[in-house]
Formats: sequence, C-alpha cells, structure tokens
Amino acid sequence: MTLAAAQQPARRNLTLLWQVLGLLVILGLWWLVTDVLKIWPPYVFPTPKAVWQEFAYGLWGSGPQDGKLLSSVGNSLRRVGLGYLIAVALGGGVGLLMSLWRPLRDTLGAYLQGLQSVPSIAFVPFAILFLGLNEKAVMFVVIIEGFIPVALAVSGAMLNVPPAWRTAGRTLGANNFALVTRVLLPAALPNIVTGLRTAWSFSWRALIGAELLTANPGLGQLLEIGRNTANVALVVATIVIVGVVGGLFDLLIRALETRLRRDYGLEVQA
Amino acid sequence: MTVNRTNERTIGPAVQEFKQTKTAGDGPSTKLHGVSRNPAPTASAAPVVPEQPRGASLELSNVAYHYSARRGQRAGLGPLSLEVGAGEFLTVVGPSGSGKSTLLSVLAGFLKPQSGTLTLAGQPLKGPHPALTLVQQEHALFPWLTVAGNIAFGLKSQKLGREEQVRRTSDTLALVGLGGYGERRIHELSGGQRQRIALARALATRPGLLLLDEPFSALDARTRTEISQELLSIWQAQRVTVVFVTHNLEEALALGERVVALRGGEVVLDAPTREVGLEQLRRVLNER
Amino acid sequence: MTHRTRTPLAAAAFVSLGLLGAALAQPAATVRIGFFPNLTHAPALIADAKGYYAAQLKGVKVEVKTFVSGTTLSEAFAAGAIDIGLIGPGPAINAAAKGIPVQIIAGASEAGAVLIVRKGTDIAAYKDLAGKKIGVPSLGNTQDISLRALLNTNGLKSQDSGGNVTIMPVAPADVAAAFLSKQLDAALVPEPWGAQLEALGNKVLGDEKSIWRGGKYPSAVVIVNTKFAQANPEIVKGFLKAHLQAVNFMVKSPVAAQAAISSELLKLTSQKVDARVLQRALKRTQITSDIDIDALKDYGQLSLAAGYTRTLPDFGTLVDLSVLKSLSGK
Repeated sequence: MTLAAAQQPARRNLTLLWQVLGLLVILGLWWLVTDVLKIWPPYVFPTPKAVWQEFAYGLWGSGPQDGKLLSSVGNSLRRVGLGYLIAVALGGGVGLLMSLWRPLRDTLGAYLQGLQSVPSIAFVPFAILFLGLNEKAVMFVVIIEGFIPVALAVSGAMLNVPPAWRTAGRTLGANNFALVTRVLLPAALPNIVTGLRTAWSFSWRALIGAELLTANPGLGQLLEIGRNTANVALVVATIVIVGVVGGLFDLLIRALETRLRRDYGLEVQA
Repeated sequence: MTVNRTNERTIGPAVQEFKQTKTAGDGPSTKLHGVSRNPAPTASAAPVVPEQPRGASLELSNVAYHYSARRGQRAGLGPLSLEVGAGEFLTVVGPSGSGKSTLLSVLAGFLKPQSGTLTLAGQPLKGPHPALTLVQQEHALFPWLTVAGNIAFGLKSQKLGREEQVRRTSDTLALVGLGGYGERRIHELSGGQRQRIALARALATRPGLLLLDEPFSALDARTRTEISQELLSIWQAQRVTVVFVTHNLEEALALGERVVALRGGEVVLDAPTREVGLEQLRRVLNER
Repeated sequence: MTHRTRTPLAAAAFVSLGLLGAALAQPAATVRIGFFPNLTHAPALIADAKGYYAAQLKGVKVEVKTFVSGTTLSEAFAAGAIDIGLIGPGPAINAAAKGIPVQIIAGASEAGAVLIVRKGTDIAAYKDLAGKKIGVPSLGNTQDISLRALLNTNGLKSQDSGGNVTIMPVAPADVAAAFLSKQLDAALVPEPWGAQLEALGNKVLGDEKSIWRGGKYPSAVVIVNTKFAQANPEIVKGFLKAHLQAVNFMVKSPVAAQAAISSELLKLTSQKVDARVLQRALKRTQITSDIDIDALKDYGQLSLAAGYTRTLPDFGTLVDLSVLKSLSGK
C-alpha cells in the first residue's frame, strides 16, 4: 500500500508528460500541414498562428468585435451554470421519485430513455416556438439535456444499491425516510456523480448548439460570426475554447468522482 | 456508564481465558465449546458483577413462510416452533436450501410469516424491531461513513444524544479491540477488522437479540477463530441473546450453547451442544 | 437538365477542396450555379425559369443549387462546390478578404431591403429604435451591415458595440412568427419578405431608398470562382449572356418576368407569393447588371467598422467587369 502510494505521484508526472508531448505533436502536425505543406488553403484550414491571432484579438484586441472573448465565455458559463444547476435539482428530484415509485419509473423512465437519444439540436425549433427566440429557449434546451441523464442516473444508482446495505440500514433502525437519506442516497452517490458528469457534457454541448440562435454574446454566437464572415480561424479558436472549458469542468467532476470512489473503496476508473 | 466500564473490565480476563482454552482445545473443535458455554469464569474472575442479562427471550410458534411457485427455488420454512431463552446462544445449522435464510429474514422482520406468531421478550414481533439487530454474511458497512460513523448509525436512529453516541461508539470500539479506529475509512480495514466493526455496529444499539448470518464465513481460519472467541467473551459479558446461523457444523458446536438443525424448513434436531456430536449432526443433516 | 439541391454545406465539405482544386484546371463539363430564392436574386430566378442558362451554355451540364443564406453559399464557394453564384456584397467582400478565390463579374440587383417594424410598437422614427430588438437574416451579412450603418448615422449603437439596440439573427421566414410573439420589434429584410410582412399589417419604417445611399447600393452581385473563370472563359461568358438576357427581360416585360419569378419561387420554396406583394417588392428592387463600385467600397468600410473583417480585398482585382462590358457593349 505504501509502495503504491509512492508510485502514484511518479505515475501522475508521467501522464502529464505524455499529455504535454501529445499536445506538442498535434500542434506540430497542424503547423506541418498548414504552414509547411499547405495541403489546404488557409480559408479552409487556418494556421496555428491565425488561430492564436483570433485568441489575441478576442482577449486584448481593440477592434469593434474584439476583446469579447472573456465576456462570451462568461455569458456561456452563466447560462450553462444556471441551466445545469436547475437540471441537477430537477433531475435529482425526478430520479429519486422514479427510484421509489415503480409506475413512474415504468412510464416516465422509459420515455426519458428514449428522449435521451434525441440530439439537443432537435429540441431547438420546439423551444423557439414554445418560448420564443430568446435566452429562455437556450436555457430550456440546456436544462432538458442535463435533466435527463441526472434523472436516469439517480434512479438507476438508487436501484442498484446493494441489498446488504438496505438490510443493514433497516436492521439498524432506519425508517423509510432515513433509509433513503442515510443509506440509499449516500450509497448511490458515486454513480450519481458519474451521471452528473454525463449531464454536464450534454448540457454544455446543448448550450453551444442553442447559442447559435441568441443575440447575446456567447461561444455559440462566436462560432456563428466566424462562419458568417468566412473566418475559419475564429471558428477553430472557438472550438478550442469550447473544448477546453468543457474539458476543465469535466476534469473537476472527475476529480470529485475519483475521490468519492477512493473513499468508498471502489475501484478507481482511469 | 458504570455498567459499560464494568463490562470492559470483565472482558479482559475473559478473553485471555479463551485464548488459553483455544491452545488447549486445538484438536477437535468441539472441545472449545465446553469452556465457552460456561459463564462461571467471567463472573467469578471479575470483581464486579456484570450487568444482569439484557438478552430478550424469543418465541416462535407455528411460524411458516413459503415462497410462491414463481420464485420457486428458494426454500420455505415451517410450520416451525422454537423457544430461545433470554441470554441464550443458539446456533442454527443446515445445508443450503434448508430454510436458514428464510428463518433469519422472518426473525429480522423482513419477511412477514404467512402463519404463526413471533414474540420477543413477550411482545409480538412484527417487522424490524429496535431490540434486534442483524449482522450479515458480508460486513455491509457503509463506506461513506467512517468507522465511528458506522457504529453511530444505529444510535442516531435511536435518537440518542450526541455525547451518548460518542461515548457508546468508543466503548463499543474498545469492546471489539479496535479502540482508536474511529476515524478510519472502511476500505482501510482488513477483513477481520471489518467484521469486528460490523459486530460492534450491531452491539452498540444494545440489542436484546443479536442475529448473526454466517458472519465469519468470508474470513480466513485464523481470523475466524480469533473473532469467534471475541464474540463469545462479549456474549458472556453482556448476555445478549444470540441466534447464530451457519453451515459450518464445527463452528455451530463450538460456539453455541444449543444447536438447532434445519432440513427442508423443519427442525430435525434441537439439543444442547454438549449432548451432540459432530457425527450425529452430520447424520441428521444427511451430510457425509 | 438541371438538378437542384438545397445544400447548407457542412464543415466536412472543406476536405474535398484540395482535390477539387486540381480538377478545376481542366475546362469543365459542368457548371454549378448557386443563388437564393429571394427577389434580389431575380435575374437567376428568371434565367432558370426561362431556360436561359441551358440555352446559353450548350454542351455544358448546368447544376443549379439554392441556398438560404450568404454564409452557406460562401462556404460552398470555399469548399469549391459552386462555380458561379449570386450573393450579397457583404459575404462576397468577406470571402475575398479571407483569400477565397472569388471575383465579382456583374451586378444583379440594387436596393430591395426594407426596415419593417412590428405593428403595435411605438417606433415612429429611427431614433425610437433605441432599446429595441431588430432582426437581420444573419450576423455579418449585407443587411446586418446596412443596419449598423443606419444605427450609426442615427446616433445609436448595437448591444455588442456597447449600445442598447439588440441585433438578432433571424431567418426572414421566421420574422413573422417572431413579430407575432413579440420577440422582435423590427427587422431589416430583403424582398419579398419586406412586402410580405407589410401585407401582414406591419409597417415600413425605412424603405429601400431611405436606408442607405438613396437606394443606390448593390443587394446582390454575381461572383465566380477565379480559377474556374480562368479555365472556363466561355462558360463565364455564356452565363453572363443568360444573366443579361434575364435582366433585359425584366426591364422590357416586367409582367411576364414577374410571372416567371412567381413560378420559380413556387418551385423552389413550395410557397405561392401573392401577386400584389410580389409587385410591391419588385418595385423596391432594382434589377440591374450594373454595379456601383463606390457603394461596394462603402460596404467594405462598414464591414470593417463593424469588426466583421480586419482587412479589405483589393477592389481593383475583386471586381472585373470586362466580360460584362464587352457583352453589353458599354
């Protein structure tokens, strides 16, 4: 055990090294095919420098559309943050009810499973007709995309709690309410957190798709402007930001998940 | 409080006594029970008189439970009548499919018998009862809680005050020889330690009846012997009524005062362990 | 034999470009023409309806593709999926600024865009647009840029430039619904959408002339892939002949031209445009092959000011009217 503990930091450093190397290889290949080999014209596949330039403009440029990168990221984060929180609260409640009440699980649960396979962008026209061409429509799509995996994860995780823990809880005097709050929910937590991670990536993707429609600055709108003005470098720069922000938050939840799994003595998933 | 400290003190010598007997009776395990069943050494060795028996008496009359045909393979039970005296250590043996698990589920209140009545300390027993705790085959400790949190779980259900919870938790930990382990995580413990904590968790609620469902079956032989002896000394000190279910016949004879053998959901033998030999037990159970 | 697809080309089409570049050096047997089912693209609507393209391009397979916005058409150009197209000056300038090989070879229409305000709003003058939501077909397109110019001259600013007017991208077809649910207060739309919205009871705040330069501004131009033009001068010439024929038809017999446009719109969009609406819309749209280069340059400046582009192309090479002039004898 102490040996394993000693190996861990070393392994982490090695992973980091590989990740940095991988990034360098990607950048190198990118540079090679655009700047050196010029396989594609720059208006189709921009050079790393052009993309970097878009970052620079977005961060500290002085043109009329410049310096908006941070506010765009902030706007997107605000929308997804609020939407995600609502989705988690709503999904948690519905998932809990589904796990406790079979008729709900057999009906709503089955529908949600089906709805989950509908890509978020398919909800957008409906959201616009229903709520109008505004931020509410964006939030609706973000919430529905986050809500479904949370509800399914909570319900599934609760149902998969080993019976031995239920038995132990009941024999130690827990009534129905305490069984749910003190045994089932904590027992289901690691799997619920996995669901929260899925919900995050669904919500984030849905947001970017839905934001293509809003007038307020946001990452989706940056993509749309890049597209409208034939500015592929801006499109690529935005894709990078969307990926990085999404990945960072995913990493955060994953860290929580790993910690929980370790505390619970469960196998740690790589 | 006085009582509890008394118990700890009386257990100290008791444990040692059993360790000696263990080396003495290393051969056929049946020898071990001769000592274990005798509470005298504890009482006489200790300067303070232990708490009067806390154990609750248990009575089953014509209890029956049979699964519907759809859930076919599981073994039914009864009709079965059985009396367990207050503070008695009863072992229940039987091959798989003999109705052991069904009996436990009925006793623990998870299955409602289709006929017959159960009483605990003279009161009808319907559903899970605070005076009765079950220790399962696998430890079933809650990994989201610390060791202390696990032990305090049942105490919280009983709505005991914070101080009382803390005191009982540390007392019970000391009782199973794991004082100072309160802040550990479950996955940091060895198998034997986990099962000790599971036992401690059940004991902390001060049950009148302790149900044990093959609690040591997952442990290695040595740990199993150690923990069995600890269980005996605790029982001796606290005089809680114990119903210990096992498929291990040697264990049943070594630990219990009295053994009940089940076959096909019916009692085929019910006798003090000192009067029963291993061969006889095998014969009634039709085991070679 | 014409073949139609509505192709909002995805990014995946980028990949095919490298291969197409080489193929384009040979004289082509096929010409792919792109335009929108809008009145500002009337010459293409007439030419296709009357079969002028097929007549002027004998021995060449003509493929006609319609697009819903300058963005998608410009992407198709970048991907090398379109050879000749009609497009708004905004996307044409942006594309050239980014190095996409395009050349403007003729005008198609002038004016033809109006600022419509929703019925029931208190907007009576441009300055009342403060704090309102205005729709444009897409961000960075021709109407968006004209709107920003309009706001500037009236002392207003859009939200993304620190002002209080919200500019929203709304497809012209969705404006009526957005008006009904009060999601939008006004919209700057190309015809025939303006006339259609007007027919629904909304009012015109700024007509095609008052919006900009007294109506002397291009709304659609003809662009060609530069490499295609170099390899296929005859096809380009044939296309321009058909284009001029259509423009002349429009000038000489507007009633018959309107009927042709109506049937073409019905064919392309499965929607019947009311004859009176069409008539009014056509009145606001000047169908012409001429092109006002100064207006084009002004567009460039506006696009630059709006931040949609950082560089401007060299208008001397971007606009090449030599073939047009030789054909029209001017």
